[in-house]
Amino acid sequence: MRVVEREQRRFMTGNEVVAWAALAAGADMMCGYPITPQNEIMHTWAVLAKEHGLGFLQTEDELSAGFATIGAVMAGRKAFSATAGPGNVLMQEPISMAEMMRIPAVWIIQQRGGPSTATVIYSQQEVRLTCLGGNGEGHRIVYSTSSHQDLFDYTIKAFSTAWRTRFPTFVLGDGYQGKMLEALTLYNPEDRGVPLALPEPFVGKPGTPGLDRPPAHFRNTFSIEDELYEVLTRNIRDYEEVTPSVVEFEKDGCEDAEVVLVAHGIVSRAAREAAEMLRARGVRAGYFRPITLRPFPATALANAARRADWLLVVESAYGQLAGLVREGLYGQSAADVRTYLKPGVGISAEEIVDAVEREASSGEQRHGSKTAT
Amino acid sequence: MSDPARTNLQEGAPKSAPRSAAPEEPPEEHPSKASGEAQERASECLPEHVPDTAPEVVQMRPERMPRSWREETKPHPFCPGCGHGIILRALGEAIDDLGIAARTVYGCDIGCSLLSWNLFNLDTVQTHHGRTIPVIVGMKRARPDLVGIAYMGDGGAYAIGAQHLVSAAIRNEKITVIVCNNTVYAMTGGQLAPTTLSGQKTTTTPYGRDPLETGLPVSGPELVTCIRTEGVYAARGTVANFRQLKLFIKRALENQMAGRGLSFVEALSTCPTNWRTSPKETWHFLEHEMGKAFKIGEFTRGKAEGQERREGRLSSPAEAGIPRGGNEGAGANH
Repeated sequence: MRVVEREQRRFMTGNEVVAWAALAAGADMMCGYPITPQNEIMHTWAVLAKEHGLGFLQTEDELSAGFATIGAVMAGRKAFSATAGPGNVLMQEPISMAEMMRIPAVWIIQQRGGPSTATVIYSQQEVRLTCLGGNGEGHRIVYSTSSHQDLFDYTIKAFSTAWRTRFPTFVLGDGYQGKMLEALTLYNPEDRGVPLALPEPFVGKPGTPGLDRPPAHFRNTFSIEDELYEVLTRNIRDYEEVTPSVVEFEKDGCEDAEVVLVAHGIVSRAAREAAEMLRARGVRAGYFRPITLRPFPATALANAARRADWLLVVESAYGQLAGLVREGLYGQSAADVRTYLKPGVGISAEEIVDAVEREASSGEQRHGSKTAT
Repeated sequence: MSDPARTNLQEGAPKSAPRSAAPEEPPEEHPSKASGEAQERASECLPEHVPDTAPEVVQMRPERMPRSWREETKPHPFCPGCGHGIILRALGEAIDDLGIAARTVYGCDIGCSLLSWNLFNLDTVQTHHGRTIPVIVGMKRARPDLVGIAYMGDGGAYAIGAQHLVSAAIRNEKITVIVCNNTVYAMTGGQLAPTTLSGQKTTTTPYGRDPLETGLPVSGPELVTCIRTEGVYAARGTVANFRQLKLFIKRALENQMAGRGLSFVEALSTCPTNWRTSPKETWHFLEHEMGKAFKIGEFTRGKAEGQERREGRLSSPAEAGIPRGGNEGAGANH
């Protein structure tokens, strides 16, 4: 779908960007349920869908939205859903089915405060849920965006990645990104040579099942442990195989860094600015941003932290990214992992600079976590 | 019938299951034999309007399984005496008669219904408990040329997935929902279901279902009919009357194929494993106890969407003459 005549700068909200990106990616079905702060994705898609003859269904809840998305994908559509907060909790049920049955559905998550209803505004508290939710050890791919350009680029990419790898794929944004107006460049993926995956139906292919072709039977229930183990082993192997082609990160100034600031999503913009401010003050600070939170770029982070004495993990959550960092670095890095945590609250570059200077001056307090007050 | 959408329960129900199983009849040793016997008396059990169309659809192949069944996965894995096989045979024959195997997708729920995931020579998907309706809705909306069937038990339809059934009726989704009502959660060990009869013992109502504590059995087709009749097909059959059940399922598929709306069939079924009943007791419970609690027949047979009543349709409160935030005046007192 050509969304623009030619590349053009636009000024719009992140939620609108997501809907336009889905259109550009060739998505043809969205199922959703109202929850702030993602609503304008549905609003915008409902208009675009009508204009372009595409599918849209507002369902009775997120369970239905997720399962109907799966149904549409199985019928051969590039289908997606969007949710947040408590909706993300409900959405984990259909997502776990997509993991088991390798359904390439796409989900957009605009994080809001938690637990419970909390705030409709912003947080980075849905990292664990989005990366690791669901029962069992399902496999999924999670892109964390930091800007409107990211939202456009990675929403397009999410569809391609999902259909290429057959793992459910997520764009993890937040309420700030969803609601904020920001400039970005809209483009047609094909004009830039961005590959778009072709969807393929799971069911309803030509021919009579049992006569012209075997019937397509899909299940998520297994009678014995060994049957399950076989499927899981295949999924794990496939995931490990695609990981090098999926994992993404961004870094700056890590080569000689004594301290590396680690942040994802919108907070990474403050962390990058803080690293520059610290450099100007004579502190050799680096910056590392995981773009895929799952698979996590652990080896890249370990390399980035090779020369560093310590890392400062900065996030609008109480240690969710820090947990991924610690697990990823375990046995790969001697750098001390410290934290600056503000669950459910935005973080500025100045705060990060202050936190680094405070930590540096209390260097003997190693291995401890600091929480902002 | 001047109004085909009207229920014919008044005519149909008293003639159905309870009457056909006279107490002095010898008990059947096997449900499949029993269903064969039931077929013979099917015409007298059918609601009034049925016989004129019945002869063309009655094509029993007692010695052969339906073409849409998959031979490689037989015998099917249901317990001896279970009604699932009878319902799914009726569905298989209806699919054969309509010649729609090439464009049918079949979704099964979790519970004993999941065991049917590879029973058919159809494209099938196993979903989660209660979530078969939304999966089939998604498929059908993505591919309206497909015939979508959601098959589930009473727990999936009326408890954990009730919101999906209600919403499918509200939106008049063009899918066919078939519910096996055996009054218990069978796969998990015979617990209280929304359909458990008053006084019925289950593993979670060991002294019998007390309506004061856990209510009365839910009536699925009646529920659907309460929400909507226009375009909707809703019926309740029983595995005790195979020909009638097959006819209901066939009409439910035809209603979907005509694009009229939600098509819903509940089938009264048996679970001797969890009921802990002998074949004789099993059949008695199905035909007498369940037959008393649940009315057999067609509740609504669909009408084209265009025939919907239009009165009362207003696009905004302002058009209706209702003032916005209509509590002015009263507010001063609070």
